[in-house]
Amino acid sequence: MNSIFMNSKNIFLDTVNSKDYVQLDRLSSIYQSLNNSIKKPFKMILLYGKPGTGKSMFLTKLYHDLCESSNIHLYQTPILDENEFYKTLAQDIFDTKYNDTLNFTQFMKIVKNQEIQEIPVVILDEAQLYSEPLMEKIRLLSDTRSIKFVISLHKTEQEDLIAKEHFQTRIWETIELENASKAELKIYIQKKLMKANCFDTANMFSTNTVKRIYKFTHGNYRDTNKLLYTLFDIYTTYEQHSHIYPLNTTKIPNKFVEMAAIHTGLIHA
Amino acid sequence: MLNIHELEKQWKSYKIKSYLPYAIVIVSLSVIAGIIYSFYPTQPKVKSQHSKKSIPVQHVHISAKKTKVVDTNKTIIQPKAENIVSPEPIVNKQAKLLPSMNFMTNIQHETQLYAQTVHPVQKTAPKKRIRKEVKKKTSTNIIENVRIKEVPTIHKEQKADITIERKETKNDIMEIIHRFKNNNNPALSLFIAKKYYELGNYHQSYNYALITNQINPNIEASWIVFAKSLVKLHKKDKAIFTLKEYINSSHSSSAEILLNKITSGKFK
Repeated sequence: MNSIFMNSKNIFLDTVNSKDYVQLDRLSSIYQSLNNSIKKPFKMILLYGKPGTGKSMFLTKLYHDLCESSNIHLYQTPILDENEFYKTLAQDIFDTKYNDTLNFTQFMKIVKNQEIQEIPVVILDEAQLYSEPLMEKIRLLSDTRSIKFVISLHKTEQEDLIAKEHFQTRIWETIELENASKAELKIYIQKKLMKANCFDTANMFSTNTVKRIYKFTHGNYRDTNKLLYTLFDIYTTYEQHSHIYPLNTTKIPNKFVEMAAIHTGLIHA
Repeated sequence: MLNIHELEKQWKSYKIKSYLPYAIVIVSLSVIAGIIYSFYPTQPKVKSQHSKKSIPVQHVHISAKKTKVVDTNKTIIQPKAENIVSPEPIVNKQAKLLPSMNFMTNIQHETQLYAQTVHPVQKTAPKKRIRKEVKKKTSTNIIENVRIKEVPTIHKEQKADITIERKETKNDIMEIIHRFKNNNNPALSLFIAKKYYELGNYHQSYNYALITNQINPNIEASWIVFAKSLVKLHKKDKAIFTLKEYINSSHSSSAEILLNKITSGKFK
């Protein structure tokens, strides 16, 4: 049974897909500035923000927009083994396969021997997971201006330290992603639903309902997605057992939002 | 699939928890309000006393206004008129307290006495005042004017007294007796003695004046009420003896005046 609630529920599944990217005013200006920075002779670009602020989605969108026109490579999951990291880069960027081990010196030789017309861009998501020696080598690679790195970090005290130690003296641009405001959150929810032709459920989100959601999620996109997924899951359950609770399709009851927040662990009963 | 029943249970406990602080605040506020209210009933009694005391002040204002009216019409007697008016509040103070004796109907059955005593006092007091004014004045024409203009002012004062009667509660005297029993305050017993005297219940006024004297023998007003009550109870000799003893110890001028009045037969 594909009801409006079931369809709406699936929209908020926590997946990173550039097609699901919702264009908001603030995000589009940040996106444009990142796009411009890539074209500039910066060695490194740092994208940071709290978990769930849309960094991965942002980088995915950037990759999909530029992959056809630029030499750009996205690594969503970190390659923690150093040898594997160099081999992957050599294969993806320079089409050079290495069956044996490839160390930093060997990789630098490969980089220097290449005649590159356009500087390749390497996007490293979750860069806080890379070891400090590897991060140091990434810094040295960026100094050669042969590869441009866009790295994304979680903004924590420890990760700020990593950023300071490795990138403070380099020429780089920093872009911070933040949680959505109340108005942005409303636009985000409604745009996301309307993109999937769920106009009825999009209209159910009044300003008060969004305020309540914001109270629990603080505008964090990941938490919002989780909450809304559970919210529509609750709707679906009640719909299947219609005798339990009469459903109102014009307004979302606070009870449902609170129940979803309890289920997702945003509040504790 | 969600376990919706379990989730509803959790939601209910969440709602209870979220309302708990408000419930605690409301309960604590109501408890505080209850404690404050339990102390509150003592305050109105104090206020009732004050209100009684404030009534004569209102009369003084009224009488002052009236005298001003007289002053505008007269040119020669201005200072005399003021002199005449000034003792009025003292006479009125006695008369103004009379209406509160309505409440004594609950305690005693001497309503007739009350009717006889209250009204004559109110009516005679102004007449006496006018007579005094007449004696003090030399120009007969002007005195006539004074008579004509001051009589209506007296009537207005009487009307004001009637309004005071309406304001007071019938249980006031009982409350004062009850309070006196609780705290033995001589001011209260003197007040009761005065009230009984004004009502014509001289036996009770004698008793309460005696009690007041026992508590505090230095209250002049109490000795005067005591002596007056004795005279009214046809114990003139005892009243004279008491006053003489009190004059010897205190040299009270009021007591001497009263003694002279009793001995000369002016006070019966």
